[in-house]
Amino acid sequence: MMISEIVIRGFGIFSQEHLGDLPRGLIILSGDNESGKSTLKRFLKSALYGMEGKKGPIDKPLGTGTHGGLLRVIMNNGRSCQFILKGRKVQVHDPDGSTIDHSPQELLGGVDERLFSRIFCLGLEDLWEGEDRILDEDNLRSRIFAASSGLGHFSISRALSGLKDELSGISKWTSARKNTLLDEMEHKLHDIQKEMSALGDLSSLYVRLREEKKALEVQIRSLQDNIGTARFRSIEMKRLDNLIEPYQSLKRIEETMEGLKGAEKFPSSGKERYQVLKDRLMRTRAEINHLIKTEEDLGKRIREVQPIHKILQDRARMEEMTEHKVRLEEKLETLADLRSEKRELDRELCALLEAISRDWDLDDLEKADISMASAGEVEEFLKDLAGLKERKDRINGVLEEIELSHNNVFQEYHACGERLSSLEEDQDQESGRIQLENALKSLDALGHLSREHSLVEERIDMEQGRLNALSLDLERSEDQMEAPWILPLFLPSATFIVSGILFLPFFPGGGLDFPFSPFYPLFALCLSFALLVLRAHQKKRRDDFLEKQEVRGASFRNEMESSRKGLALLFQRAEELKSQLAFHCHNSGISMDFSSMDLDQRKIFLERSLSRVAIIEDTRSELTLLHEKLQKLSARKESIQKELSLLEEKMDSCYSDWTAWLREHDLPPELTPQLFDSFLQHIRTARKHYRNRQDITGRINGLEDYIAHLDKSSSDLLVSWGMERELSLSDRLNTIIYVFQEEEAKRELVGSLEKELDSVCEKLEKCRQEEKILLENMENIFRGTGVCDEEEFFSLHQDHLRFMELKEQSLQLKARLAGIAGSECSLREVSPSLENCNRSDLEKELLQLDRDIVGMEKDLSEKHQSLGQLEDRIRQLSIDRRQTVLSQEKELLMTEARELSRKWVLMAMTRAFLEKAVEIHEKQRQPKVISKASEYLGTITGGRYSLHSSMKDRSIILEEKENRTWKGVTTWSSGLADQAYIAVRLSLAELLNQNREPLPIILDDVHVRFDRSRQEGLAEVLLDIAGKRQIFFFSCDSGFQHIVRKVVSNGQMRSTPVNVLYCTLQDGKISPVGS
Amino acid sequence: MAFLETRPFRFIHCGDLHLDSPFTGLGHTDSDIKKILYDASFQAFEKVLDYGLEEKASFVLIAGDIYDSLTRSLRAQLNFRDLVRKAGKEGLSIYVVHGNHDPLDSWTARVSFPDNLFRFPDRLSSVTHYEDGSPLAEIWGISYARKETSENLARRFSGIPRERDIFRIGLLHCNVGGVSTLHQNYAPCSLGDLIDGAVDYWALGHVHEMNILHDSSPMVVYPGNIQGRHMKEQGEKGCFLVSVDSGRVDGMEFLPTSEVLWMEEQVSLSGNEEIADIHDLVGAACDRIRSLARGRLSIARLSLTGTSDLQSFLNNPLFLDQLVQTFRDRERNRLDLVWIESIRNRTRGPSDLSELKDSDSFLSDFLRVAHQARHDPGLVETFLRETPGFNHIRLFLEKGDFPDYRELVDDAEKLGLSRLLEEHQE
Repeated sequence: MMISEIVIRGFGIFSQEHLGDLPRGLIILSGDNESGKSTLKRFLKSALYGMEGKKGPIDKPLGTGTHGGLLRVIMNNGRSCQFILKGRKVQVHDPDGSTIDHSPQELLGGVDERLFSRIFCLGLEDLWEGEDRILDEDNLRSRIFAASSGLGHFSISRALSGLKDELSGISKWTSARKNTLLDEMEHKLHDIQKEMSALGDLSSLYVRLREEKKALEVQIRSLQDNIGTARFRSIEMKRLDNLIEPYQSLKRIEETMEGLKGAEKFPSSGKERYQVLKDRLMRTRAEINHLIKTEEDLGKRIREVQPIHKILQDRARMEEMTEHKVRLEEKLETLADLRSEKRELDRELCALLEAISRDWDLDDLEKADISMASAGEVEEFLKDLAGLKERKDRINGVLEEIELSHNNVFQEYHACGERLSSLEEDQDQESGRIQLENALKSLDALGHLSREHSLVEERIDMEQGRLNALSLDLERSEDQMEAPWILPLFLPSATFIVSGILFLPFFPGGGLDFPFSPFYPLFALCLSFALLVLRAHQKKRRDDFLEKQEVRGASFRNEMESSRKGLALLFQRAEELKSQLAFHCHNSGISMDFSSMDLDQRKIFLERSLSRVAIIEDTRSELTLLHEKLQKLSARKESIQKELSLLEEKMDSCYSDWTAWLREHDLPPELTPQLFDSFLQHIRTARKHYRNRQDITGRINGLEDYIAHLDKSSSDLLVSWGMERELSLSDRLNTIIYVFQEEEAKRELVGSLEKELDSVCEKLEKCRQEEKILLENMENIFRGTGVCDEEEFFSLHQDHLRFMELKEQSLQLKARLAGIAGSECSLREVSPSLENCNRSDLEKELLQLDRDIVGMEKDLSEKHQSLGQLEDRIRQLSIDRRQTVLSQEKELLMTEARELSRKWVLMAMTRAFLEKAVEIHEKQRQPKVISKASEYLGTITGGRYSLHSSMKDRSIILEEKENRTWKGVTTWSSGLADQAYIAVRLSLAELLNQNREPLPIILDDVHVRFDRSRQEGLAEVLLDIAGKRQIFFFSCDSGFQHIVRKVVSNGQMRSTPVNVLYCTLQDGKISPVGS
Repeated sequence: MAFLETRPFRFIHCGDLHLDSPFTGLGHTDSDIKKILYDASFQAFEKVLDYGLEEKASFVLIAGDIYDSLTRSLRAQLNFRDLVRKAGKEGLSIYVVHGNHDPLDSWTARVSFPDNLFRFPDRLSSVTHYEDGSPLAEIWGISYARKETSENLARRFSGIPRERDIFRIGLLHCNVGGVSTLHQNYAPCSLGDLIDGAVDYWALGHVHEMNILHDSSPMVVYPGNIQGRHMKEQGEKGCFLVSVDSGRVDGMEFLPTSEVLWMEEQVSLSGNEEIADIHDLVGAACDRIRSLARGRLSIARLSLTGTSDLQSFLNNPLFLDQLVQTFRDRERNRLDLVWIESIRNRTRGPSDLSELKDSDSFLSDFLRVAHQARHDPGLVETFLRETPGFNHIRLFLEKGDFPDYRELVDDAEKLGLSRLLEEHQE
């Protein structure tokens, strides 16, 4: 098939592009990078096979136009059709637009897209894929094998080793002690089997346990029966034991009751009645005693509480005193207030006098003349003084500022001087500013000169080396002047003569008859002529060679001459540079054999010295300025001090005037004009306080007179009551009132006590009568029971109580005995046994029985425990899942192992198929492919190499024909590997497509690592194949078109003419440039 | 002889309980699933008895293989006894014959059973089932004395008198006419042996597939087993509820009992080109299985079919393993989970391999080798014997592990192609 037309509506960089009239032959499309070569390759492939099922972009058009396009195709049988790409799908139509039933793959000779991509569509990436990997022998072999097998970059060995790894992971591949998956499973299965064996037969165990349980249950039942019997006997014994003691007690009680028979008839409530009477008597007597005591107490109190009648008669005077007491409180408070006020005024007056003058008293206060206060004289004084003082303060302030500045400047001056002296000490006296600057300049020049000197020396070395090389080349060239060997001139002549002599007999008339004899002279002539021609050719080649050698020698000599001149100039320049270096070394103070480090260190030292000199100069000028400033400040200070002394004199005269004025007006001499206003204020206040004090003193005297009178009258009253005491006035008044009230209260109390005494006497009489009656009743009771006194009465009563108690006990014991014996009848039955029973024997027998029961119970408990354990085990067994779990686990593991084994079989089969296929391929298929590929490689490499399959290990090797040497893949260059690879792929395409629709081949920049001659070889191969099928060749090198043109023109005599179309590609535009 | 006037009654017919026998064909499984599996057979039998009580069945017939004597599972015996006892308290009678998996010699002196269980001896015997003092049915049966019973036990039933005045049931564990090649041929008999007998209903056991061999009088019925235990026992398993009126079978209803369902589902990948599509389709298949399982655990085997361009993935066992694991993880916390046993690739690639086979490439050589092996099993055996480690592997392989040799070669061919082409996927 061939593509006759390409129409791209929109595909990546291409938009509305059309390329028609494509020939069946070679189509070369040249373009720079990003011109659209790879996009066009993708379009061709997509238009043939579509993009269904692929991820990634669909090369949406970058410009205008909808995505897609079509290819017009002419099949080998002449049928035309269109492959239309729409979205990701391809539709195949007839030229008239009707859909074709066949799928694209059917039309393309059954070659699917994968196969097409691997064999017919080869790009740069296919060659360079894996370039970053080590191109070892195996890799390269695999690559060539894969190419010849149609698999692209596939490593069959990797597939086989991958399968082997997986297989050996499952089961042991070799005898290595590696643990495989199957081994692990075997171990697990073994463990499960072991566990199952350990578990044993649970059913048998269950049956055995059930039997054991039954036997144990029988034993338990028998034991329970024995225990029951022993317990019954024990109960009987215990009953007898229980009966003995109460029975004997009953006997004893009955004996005692016999002795107390007399008290049986004591009246049932006799003692209670007697006791009631006795209690009442006791209560009555106690009340009588109480009443007598109350009567005595009341008489005593009445006597104690009698009132004083004298006091009760002075009621009027007591009421008068009560009124005074009420007023006295107010008057005392007023007196205290007045006194405190007076004290306050005295204090203030003292303070005022102190403030006015220390020497003044109250008389001076009255005497002082303060009438001039309003004359304004004091104000004038004050004004003058304030003006003078203000001026003095201002001058003092200025003087202080000057002092401060002077001190600061002086300190600065001093510090600057010290700094300068230290700098001058450090500085080297010899190095002045100019010398230092000059040294620095020399140092810079030294750097440049030394670099130039080194360059010059390097150039000298180079020139010398070049000169030596040239002289060697010249010598070699002269040695090669010996001309190649040529046939000696005598050889043709000798040949002619010898052949003439040798064939003389065959000449006509030479004696021998031979059918071709007339040709022998001609043959001899031709041979000698051929030798002559050969010699002439050799001579011409020798002359050419000699001429070339001559020219080459002359050029060597010229070059040597120019080199020598250059060398002389360089030596001269080196000398000049040396003298300049010496001069600058001297200037900069550095030795001639300095290094670049010395230069740097010296430069740093000089720069530092230069900066220190600059600092000293600055410090000196600063010191001079500070000295001048100090002098100015001293002069200003002196003038201000003078002005201040004048001002102080003026102030002194002003103060002497003020003292005279004070004396004139009887005012204190220490009074200052500033305090005059406050002085006046104090005088006025003090005079006001003095008048108030006199008024308060009068009022205090009045109140003191009233209190003295009251004190005397109250004292007289108390004396009249016989109660003279040292008391304050107020307490005395209170005492008078209190005493009177007390006497009043006593009088009332005596009245009430007298009433109470009467009532007590009455009650006492009644109690005495009741006592008499009670005594009579008690006498009657004694007579009734036949006793004489209370003691006998109580004794009889005690006996009666004892009898009743014993009677009760006897009844209880009888009931208890009947209870223990079961019934009264039973008791009667056992009574004889009880009479003769020995208790110690009974107890011994009982003890033995108890022991037996405990032993049996213990045994029973153990048996119960065993039974419980057995039941527990049986229950555990009935819910035991271990057997289920283990058998299920075993089954799961077995299944896993079977699955793994199946997987192993599958992989082992796959591996075996692959190995077999490799064997067949290498035996049958590969030689054909390699043979064709060898042919192509020979053409590409100009016959230098041929490709072979090694018979030994079927690896692929190259033969270098000229030397008859073999090249293993390890010695191939990358370019050679590319060429071999392309040759194999083209060969495979040829063989694979032999009997089918010939598909076009698409090659993209596969020749980038080919040199020119190999590119020509490739062009030769392509033209050869293009005679049979269409080839699209994309190249980023426009030179390849020229190569093809050249190859085409050289091969005009080609048996089948090949159509070639040359196109250029630029920014998605395809332009045919010729054919 | 005229039939006695008996009132209508119903009974349950089941067989092949195989209590506490392990599930086979499962690889690595979660512990939660294992717990379900441990109890599945017991729960299935409990369901049988529950059906009997719910449907007011007069009795339950068990046609052999209550458990696997080989495992000698005490748990199976005790649980069986407890369930029977529980049913007995509700008044349900159970009639049992023993089969090849639980012959009489394996039951001796094991566990004592309650009175509502009647076990037929190893000679033909009959028992009449009474209800409220009236006879309802006459049950004839015979148990296996030992496992290897090759005698045609059905022939012994020919001695039963033909005259009868009551509904008659034959309870037997046998292989009728080699109906199943999957099961060993114990007590073989022909359908004719059964039809000719004087029995109205043949309650059979031994074959695990539900099958009604004769649907008119006498009915010949295999109910199958009550719980599938491997992939060959797929779908619903259960028992029959048989209604009898006027001395003949009036109706039959199949009652499902499986606690765990084994399912196989095909998933067509045609027209789906993305890996994500495979996930969606497998997810949908799981949902379909779930809806069938109605809340029960189901163990599923999925076969991917149709045409797919993703052969390199599908032929890679690792990819399928990962797919299985993904869905196991996704299903893990569901109560109605679908546990994927395996996913198998049965898809075809879009390109025609026969075209490739005729080409002159290495692939064609490979395909030709596979083709040759497909027709020559000896060749494969030779290949395998030459592979180191085969002797170890064969210890784990069983006869039925490769039921279809051609399928195995197909798989190897696919695996080989995927390994050859996997590095070139675009």
